[in-house]
Amino acid sequence: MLRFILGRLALAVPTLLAISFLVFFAGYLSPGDPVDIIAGEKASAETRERVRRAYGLDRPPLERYGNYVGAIVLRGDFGRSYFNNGEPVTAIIRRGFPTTAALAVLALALSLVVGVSVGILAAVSANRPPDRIAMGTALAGVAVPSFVLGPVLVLLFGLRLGWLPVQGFSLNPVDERLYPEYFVLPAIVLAARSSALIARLTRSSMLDVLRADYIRTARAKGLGTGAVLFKHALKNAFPPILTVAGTTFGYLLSGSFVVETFFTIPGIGYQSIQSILQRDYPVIQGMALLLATIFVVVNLVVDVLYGVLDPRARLSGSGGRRRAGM
Amino acid sequence: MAEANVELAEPNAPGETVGPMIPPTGLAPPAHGTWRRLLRNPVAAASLVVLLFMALVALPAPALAPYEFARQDAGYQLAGPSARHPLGTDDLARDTLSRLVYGARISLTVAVLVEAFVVTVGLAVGLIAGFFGGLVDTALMRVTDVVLAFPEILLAILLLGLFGAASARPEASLVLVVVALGATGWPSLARLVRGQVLGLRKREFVEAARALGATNGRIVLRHILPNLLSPLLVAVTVDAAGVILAEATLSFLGIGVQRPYPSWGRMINDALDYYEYHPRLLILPSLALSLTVLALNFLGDGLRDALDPRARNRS
Repeated sequence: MLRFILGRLALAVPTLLAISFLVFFAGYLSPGDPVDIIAGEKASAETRERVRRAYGLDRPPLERYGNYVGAIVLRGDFGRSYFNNGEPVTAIIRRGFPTTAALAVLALALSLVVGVSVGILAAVSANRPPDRIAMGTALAGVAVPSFVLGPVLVLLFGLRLGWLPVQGFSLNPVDERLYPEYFVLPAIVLAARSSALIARLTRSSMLDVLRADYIRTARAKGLGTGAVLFKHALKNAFPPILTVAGTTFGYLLSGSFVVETFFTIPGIGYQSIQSILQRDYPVIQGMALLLATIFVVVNLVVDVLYGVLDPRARLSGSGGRRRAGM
Repeated sequence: MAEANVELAEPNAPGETVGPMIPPTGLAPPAHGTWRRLLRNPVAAASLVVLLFMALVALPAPALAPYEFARQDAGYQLAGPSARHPLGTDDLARDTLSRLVYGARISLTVAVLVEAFVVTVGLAVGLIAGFFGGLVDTALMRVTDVVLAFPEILLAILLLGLFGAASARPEASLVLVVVALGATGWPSLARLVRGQVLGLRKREFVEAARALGATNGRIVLRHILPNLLSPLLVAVTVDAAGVILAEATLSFLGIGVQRPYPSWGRMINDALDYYEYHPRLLILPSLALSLTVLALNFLGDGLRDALDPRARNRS
């Protein structure tokens, strides 16, 4: 097991290095002079020179890449924003990350609970009305993007009925209290698509398992439906669901870009889009690296968990099984 | 794809022919009867009609749309439906119907260009990796694994951010969106092709061709490629739905297709300030988008069933 984990870890490091290289040079090669963005195009030659030197933009690209990676590894320093008086990128990330993580975890829990229960319900009633309704709804959940679902729900529950706040964010900066009602609509909107995907996967995974001989045996020996479903079937149907929960987390993080933008929630998704619109490259690069690291770690955790749940996966290595459910 | 279409075993309709030669690796080449089976499936047929309608609207958009997409009709801001503007106007007094029609053109253009890119690169990489194997295969698949570890849309967002797409001219932004979605889309197709090729490479007809002295090129062109056609067709159809959704998402976020081009995603974003009193501005582009995405998904499912009637009862 330890060998398995170490093998996975050894792969993660070169992956992250390659990503940092791509991220840095994509920014370097992008059109326009960063000095124009920082100092404005009308700045005097003297100011431009000062800015260029202050941000290290006068060094050759490879040296700059070396400095960039070095600062991250040695000091956890991701550079400074081109705006906000050169605020450090790490400070910007630290400000937004808890919000995004809270929203993503909430949505993940919501989509697991909803997705797995709807999927089981559908599998048990396969091809009968409850199944048809559940799968029809799930299909709509896949086809209706969050930036449509969001406005529709806001129109209904926020503007017309007035039950929930229309936008904003729950940790009030004035009294620093948590207002959970601000999280309801964003979490639902964020979770909709992944709930649908998990429901579809749970259904097919459960149907596969329910056909197995040992289920028939369990039924034959007189076990109740509940015991059969949860003790026997769900246990074996779960590994593929877990794999998807890992990828789902990724979709939730990227989904947070849209949801945070729509609800104006100041998480890292919202912040990234603002930085992209302002062409604040150090922040974009920092966000890209942070998200890449999160993905590599989440995939690692899912791989290891999968290895624990299904010992066969440990032997076969990566063997393409991770995408089995995709 | 996590396919949840588990039908209970239902016997094939009488007179329905089962494809003569279905490789166990996947779908048979498109053969006689595929078309008929596809059209007999009501959901697939309806999807095809929707998509044909979109295409027939998109292609002659300049001739069909009553107004040019950026044309402002002074004095008609946020006007309701009328003879002059059948679906009303937006806050800048631009004709909604015309913008929807041009929006279809943008969605379909992006989808076609991205799929062309994805198929070209994915096919090349998948064929090389699957056919030659060894070190080339390992290296290529390592790259696809890394790209596949990230959600496509997130990669596209970051790529567009690094390209500076938000400040690009509209025509350039269209190209950037295609490049970003193409660059993030090819690995999954390459994986699919590789998997198929690995299976096909060991089949008897390939061995027979090799024994008869066929060159690698001939084997790939005459024996492997035709067998890839069906899975490719299904994959491209389903993926196109994702591409259209992704383009709309990027444009919604303001980093995709730039103003004044009327991408559906952008139209939805533009509607956000007005939808409380003019929900039409939100609902119309949303409907167009969701309908197209659903139709492509259904058509993909229908194609899969039509191309491989035996697999229909498989989970």
